[in-house]
Amino acid sequence: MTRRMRRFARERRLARWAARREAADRRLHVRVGEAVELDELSDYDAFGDGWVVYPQEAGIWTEGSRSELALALEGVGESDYVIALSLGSICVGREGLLRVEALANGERVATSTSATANRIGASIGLRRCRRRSISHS
Amino acid sequence: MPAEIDLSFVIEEPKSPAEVGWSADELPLGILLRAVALQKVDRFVRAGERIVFTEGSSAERFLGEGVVVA
Repeated sequence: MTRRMRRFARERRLARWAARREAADRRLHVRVGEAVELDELSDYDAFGDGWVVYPQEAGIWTEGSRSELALALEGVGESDYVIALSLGSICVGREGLLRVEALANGERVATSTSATANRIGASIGLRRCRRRSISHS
Repeated sequence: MPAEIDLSFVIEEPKSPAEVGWSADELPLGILLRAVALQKVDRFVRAGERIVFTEGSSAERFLGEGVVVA
């Protein structure tokens, strides 16, 4: 991809981000076995409060102490699953640590304390909340 | 129908790029998310693989009900 094309792609992403609207029925669809690159979404309506996009940086930052993302998991059955997160960075100083909790439908499913993105580019297990929180058809 | 999950990230004491010396930006940030994937849990153990049960390790995939990682 040329520099001009990258710039154009970034500008289009910013326009989609600016146009996002928080609607209760809008979710980010993720299918079992597939990864969704957040820079390539057709819309960002699934992102609720607590997110920010920077023009020159790939990915989406959490902003503040709580960030909400609505997911629709496609192709799940009666097994255990993990949501794997690919992280570009975390905002900490050289000696700092960042404590992150992940909640699925309000229930804590993962906790990580880390100073490096690799360490928390981790997975969120869905086993504990499967029976109570994930609604199956 | 897909299963619906409302995912929340709770960041304890988020810091701004200004606070950590990256830039003048004062927005409190946490993690930069680039991709989300959904995977079935892999419970196979390979020959020679060592399973270490510590918090945050991938060993949690082997745990069933009634086990607490403390």
